[in-house]
Amino acid sequence: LAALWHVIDAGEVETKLVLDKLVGNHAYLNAIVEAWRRCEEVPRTSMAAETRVSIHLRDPSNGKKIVLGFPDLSGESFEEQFAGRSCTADYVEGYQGQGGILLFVNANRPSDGMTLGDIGPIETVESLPRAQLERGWTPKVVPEQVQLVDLLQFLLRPPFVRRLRRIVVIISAWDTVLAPKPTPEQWLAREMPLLHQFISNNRETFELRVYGVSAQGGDVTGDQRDALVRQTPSRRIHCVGPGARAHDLTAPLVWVNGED
Amino acid sequence: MVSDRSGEIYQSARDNSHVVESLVEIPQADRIVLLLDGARVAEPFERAGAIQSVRQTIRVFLDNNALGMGSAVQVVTTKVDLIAASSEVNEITATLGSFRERLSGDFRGRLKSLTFHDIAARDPTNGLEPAYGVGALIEDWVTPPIHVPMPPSPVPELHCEFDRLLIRTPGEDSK
Repeated sequence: LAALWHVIDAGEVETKLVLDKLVGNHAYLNAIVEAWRRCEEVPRTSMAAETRVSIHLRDPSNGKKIVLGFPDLSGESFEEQFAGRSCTADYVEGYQGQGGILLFVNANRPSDGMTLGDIGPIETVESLPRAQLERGWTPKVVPEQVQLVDLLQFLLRPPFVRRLRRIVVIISAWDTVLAPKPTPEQWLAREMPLLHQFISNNRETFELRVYGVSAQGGDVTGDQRDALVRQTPSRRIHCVGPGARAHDLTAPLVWVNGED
Repeated sequence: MVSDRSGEIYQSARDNSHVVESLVEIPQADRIVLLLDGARVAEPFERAGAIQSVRQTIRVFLDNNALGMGSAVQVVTTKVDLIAASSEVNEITATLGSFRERLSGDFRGRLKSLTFHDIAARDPTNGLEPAYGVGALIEDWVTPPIHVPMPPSPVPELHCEFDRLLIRTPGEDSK
């Protein structure tokens, strides 16, 4: 979100959507973009800092104006929905409109979805002490892709209106994917097969596109930071996927908004 | 008369456009001077933020009707001695050049004028004269705007007595 705010505000690179006008409250966006410009890790959204962001955009190719409104929800809110089976009325209301869904997954996160099939060649069940085999259930032990599928399943039944929605899965930290790089959709199918299959096979509910995005352009916690901060900020951004230009984060937004 | 507000006020206007209407002096000003802090520009980790804050200030003023076709905006880069002394002077110069070009391309058509100036109040190395660039700015500020009188409107062909009333009625030009 910070990188998106910079790229449409700064005008440093050509983008499919541009900032139309600067009206409203942008304190949250300006706060996170400051950290992004300094090549610092962007502060994560806490439940207390949850906010609804509105950005007025324009498509220069046809003059069409778009108000992009989306909530920046904390991870805890989604965990609460998954574990507590409840969500806010605002969250339900957010799905009543015509917009699509941007779903972010991180390529630079340890895989938490190993199956017995994966570890079978390494460890046999008999070789593990019993204490390691038995652990009490908490939401934390559920693999990320299982939680994501569950969150999407909420949308298939009331109070959510079931209809065909465009969903963009954005794989962040795309720079950490090792070469030879697969396409973003191949990566999703390989690393999160349950999520990929669930979305792909619910064609009456979801229309899928997958993008790989590197918002910082590299690892800002290491030696790369000095070199990254000296680049034109918008050129640090990389976006890979259908119809995307190299540094343009707006291509997924154009498609999720209903344009082809 | 010079009006000088704190940077925090302008930051709050960038954060929330509703603050713009409280900056009553902006639409009335003969010149609006926005300072680009050269010390921050010389520092790589601050550079993008400093540059972008100037761009965003112009945009939020334009989009909320504080600036318009009657506004003369001057972007003044301060402490240019620090930029000149930087080991990255060539990169900074190129960055500032592209920034000014983009700003002109995006906003000049919506303003009366958009100009760029460099100043250095006090260069400790004496590489630049004291108050470098300030004299020209002050001279510009105290120069009254040139008033270009509107050409008289052509008098249409007059036919009736009501038409001729126009000739007998003193207009704005004759006052």
